[in-house]
Amino acid sequence: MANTATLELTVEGMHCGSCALLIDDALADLPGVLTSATSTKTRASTVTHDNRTNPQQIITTIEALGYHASPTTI
Amino acid sequence: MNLTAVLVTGLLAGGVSCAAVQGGLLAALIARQRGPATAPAHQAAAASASGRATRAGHDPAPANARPNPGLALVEDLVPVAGFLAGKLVSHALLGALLGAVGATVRLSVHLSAAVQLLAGAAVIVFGLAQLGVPGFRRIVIEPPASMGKLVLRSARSRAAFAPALLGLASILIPCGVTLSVEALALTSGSALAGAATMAVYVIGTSPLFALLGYAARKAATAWRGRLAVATGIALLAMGLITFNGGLEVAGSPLAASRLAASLTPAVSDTPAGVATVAGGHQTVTITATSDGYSPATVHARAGIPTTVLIQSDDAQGCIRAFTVPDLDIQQILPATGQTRVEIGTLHPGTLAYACGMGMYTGTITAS
Repeated sequence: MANTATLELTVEGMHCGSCALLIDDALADLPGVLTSATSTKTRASTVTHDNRTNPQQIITTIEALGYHASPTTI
Repeated sequence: MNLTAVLVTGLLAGGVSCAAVQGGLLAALIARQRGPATAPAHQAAAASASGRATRAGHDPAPANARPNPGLALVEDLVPVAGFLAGKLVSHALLGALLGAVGATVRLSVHLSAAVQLLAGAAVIVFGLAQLGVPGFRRIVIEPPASMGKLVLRSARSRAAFAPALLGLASILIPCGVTLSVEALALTSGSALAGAATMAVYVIGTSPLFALLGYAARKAATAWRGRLAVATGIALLAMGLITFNGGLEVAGSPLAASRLAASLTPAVSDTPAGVATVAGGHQTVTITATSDGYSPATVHARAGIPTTVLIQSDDAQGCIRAFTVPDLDIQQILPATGQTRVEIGTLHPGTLAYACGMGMYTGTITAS
């Protein structure tokens, strides 16, 4: 099976707990996304995925919902 | 609280805030229920909103396209109605619980004011957090992960009753505006008033949910990122109103009505009333309607026993909780009828009264 990777994203524009759920719900529909955990409190999303998708597709999915997502820089 | 104000809050702030996000969950749920989609459900949901016109054009029709527009409308609105029914039930039940809890501290006017001040302060803090004000940014109400998973499971169910289940579960993911209405339910004074407050709020959000569920999901997508500012401003406004209500009920000189009176002592929209004196006793007559108390000011004599005669004329909501903070008096008025409240001998000065939530006020000036 494909290799898995973890993507850490900073998400801006969330205003309540439903926003985080909406993002996780949308990512669960994206083939290749294995898990996702989004938090309004930390303004972050942690996504594990395999090679059926890529970071850009994941970011595009979140941005299509009306939020701004970018890879977290440490 | 005047339920019309709650309805308008639901219609505007709550509708925009809830419908844009929870509507997105609902739209994706509906898209998934309609069989295997060619695109992920959230894309299909957005496309089905914007693409009704394009289906007749060159875009390939989805496998689940429905030729009868009337039937399509019904099919779209049934799950939205199911969702709203579930949401109405869970929110009204919580409102009843909050109202009942709030009623237990109604024993004292000052405790009631304290609850309202705390609720108002909490809503103001949520508003500042929403606006990203430094020092408040990290204050976010987020359901525990287990609750979030429960809601997500409802949203991803393919059962026929899944929209209603999602509506029920939406109580676990309140937006800031919903939280502030929950604060109002807490200060409403009874289980019935609390349930009515929350139910009217959900009903207020309905038109926008129906609209977003059917036609405007693309617009909702555009709003979502900007909602933090919009709901932050709405929260600040509601928090300030609730907090000021607490100040009014507490009889604080910092309450808006008292500040306004001190700034413009001679200006009044309505003519002042005058107490009637007979046999060494005076009666101050006030009319309570759903719009407030009138006249706003009544002139009386200091030094003689006084009765306030309140004539209720279809009075509704918190106006029925006639409160005189300085005398620690709270009297529940009938919707229609007369109530006599003995306030003893007046001292020279101004005696303020208010509704139970401090939103409607009046004064008796004794000299």
